[in-house]
Amino acid sequence: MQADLLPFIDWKHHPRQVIAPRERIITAGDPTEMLFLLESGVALASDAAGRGHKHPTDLAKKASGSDITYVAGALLSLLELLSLDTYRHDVLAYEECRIIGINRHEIKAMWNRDNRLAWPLSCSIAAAITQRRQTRFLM
Amino acid sequence: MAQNSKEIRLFHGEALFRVGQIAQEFYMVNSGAIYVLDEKGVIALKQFFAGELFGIPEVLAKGRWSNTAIASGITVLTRFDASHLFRSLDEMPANQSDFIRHIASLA
Repeated sequence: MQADLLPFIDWKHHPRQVIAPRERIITAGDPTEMLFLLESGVALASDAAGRGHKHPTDLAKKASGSDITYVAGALLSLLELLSLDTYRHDVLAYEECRIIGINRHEIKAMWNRDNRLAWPLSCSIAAAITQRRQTRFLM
Repeated sequence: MAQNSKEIRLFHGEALFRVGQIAQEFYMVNSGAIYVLDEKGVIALKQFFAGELFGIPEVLAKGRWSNTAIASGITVLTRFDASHLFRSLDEMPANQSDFIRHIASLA
């Protein structure tokens, strides 16, 4: 469960949002200001969705290939949040999802309390991975 | 980490590293900026500003710098010795090193 990786966040005190099936949780182009924890439900991130090639309804039926499936406890598009200014891919609710949003600056501030290297190191590694994935798409 | 790092100060236009040099250290910008230049040394391909860390993938790959990097304005950086990167991870609070290892595992 990825949420366990951020034990200093008390998720209980953050508001929940319910997203209906086929609705977008994250839209490509949204600023990466918020980190979303999927508390319940299933969500999909699709490369095709990010490029606008597929209608959301079609995407919800198709969970294969380059799609990423998120289940309860997952942090949505964590690599993109750490490495980009805007999300690159849509994330859609495959079934009804309950999500919790938390501001990235809040996380960063909590992170920096113990060690100033941890946050930029995480961002740097995430950026390297994201760049490699992007290159793979271009090849 | 402190004994494995050193603060360095560069003048405007001074090179941090040059193309072809072995990447043995990674850096965090404290103030100012670092420009990574194209092969002709004319265009800035990438800029790093205060709070940004760079060079880790090159260091982990034990590769050579594929570009030259210079300071833009008076720039202060912290230089980290690559050989101590993993030791530094072990010295971090467990939740932070676990998080970083998790991020790395997504590669």
